[in-house]
Amino acid sequence: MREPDLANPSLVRWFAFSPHALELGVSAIFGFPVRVGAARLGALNLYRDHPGPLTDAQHADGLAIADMIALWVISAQAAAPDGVMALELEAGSHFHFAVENAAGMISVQLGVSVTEAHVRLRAYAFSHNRTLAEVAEDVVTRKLRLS
Amino acid sequence: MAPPTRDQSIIESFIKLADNLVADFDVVDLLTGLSDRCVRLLGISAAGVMFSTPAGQLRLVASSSEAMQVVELFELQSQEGPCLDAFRTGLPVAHEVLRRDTSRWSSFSGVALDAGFESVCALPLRLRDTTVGALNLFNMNPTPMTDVDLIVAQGFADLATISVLQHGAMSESQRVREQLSSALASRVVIEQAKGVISERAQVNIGEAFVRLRRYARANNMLLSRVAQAAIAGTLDPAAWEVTSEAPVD
Repeated sequence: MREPDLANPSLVRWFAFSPHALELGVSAIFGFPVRVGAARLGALNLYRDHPGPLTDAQHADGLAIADMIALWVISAQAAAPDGVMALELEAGSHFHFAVENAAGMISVQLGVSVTEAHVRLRAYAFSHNRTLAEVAEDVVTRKLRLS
Repeated sequence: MAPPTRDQSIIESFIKLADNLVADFDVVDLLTGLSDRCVRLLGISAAGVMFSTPAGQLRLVASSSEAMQVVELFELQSQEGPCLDAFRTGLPVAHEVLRRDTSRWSSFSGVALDAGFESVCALPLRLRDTTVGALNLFNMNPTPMTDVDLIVAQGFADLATISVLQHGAMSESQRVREQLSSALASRVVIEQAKGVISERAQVNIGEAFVRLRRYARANNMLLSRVAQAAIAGTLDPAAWEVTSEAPVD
């Protein structure tokens, strides 16, 4: 994915994202998928403060770095127990036990895996514009039951 | 036979913890027991052990109390508090009486005082040149610990540090980081299992942990294994029923 000139895009998209990005000084953005074979893990996003495409060499570097990241993610996660994200992969600074407790409860309530329970929790928090921790507290104290 | 003196209890605690360390053990389970013993033997109100993540963030591994207020106090300490200071400086945070009108730990102090704690102390978990975490002690009165108490507390802190180094060469920092991550990850599994059991047995989270530990004891299984089985649904649900009132430790 590439958008070398966010202010004059070839394709008008990202209505929520572009204005904010431009305000912050982003003029170009390039995305490289982070994947291993068919398994897509995420994306490496590169931002630039002036418009223009990546050179061939830069593009090749981006592909190589995305591959390295994919391999590192796989090996970091391989060392972690099932259903738990490897600590090395966590970016958030606020860890809440209640989120894990809630995921356990939801997995039983909905008959899904703990991983899926985490996704449902996040989806609920996002769609109700609340923090994950707040929603988790409500689940744990049984004020809220996801369906 | 007379009940054990405090000295006898302290010696017995160290021997028992050391015995666990040379056998196959579960870090979270051992450190929960260590935290309980700190409370009993040091005459304090609550204790907890925090470990560092690979990114240098402090997280709770085990504590003497599952009460939400206490857990919250440890969560706060990833941002501010005696544990963070001890961890960053590698020096003990000796007895500190908490006050609301203070610039030191302003958020943490307020929450701790609300929870009924009046003083705190934190000992760094030191391993040669690095600090891998901290042992936190809370008291509901402002009385400082005696010098002997501090020596005993340091002994517990050292045991907590040693628990991070399971087998093999102790000098590899990579191994230490792996062990810390592994302990913190197993804590996450236990928290998920608490949720699962809480829902299956329709009990609160704290009681769920009691049942988890009790089941592990009664069946001579590692806590982390029981937790994994609970999540996977491979344990008999009847396991969560209260079958005896035997204390967990």
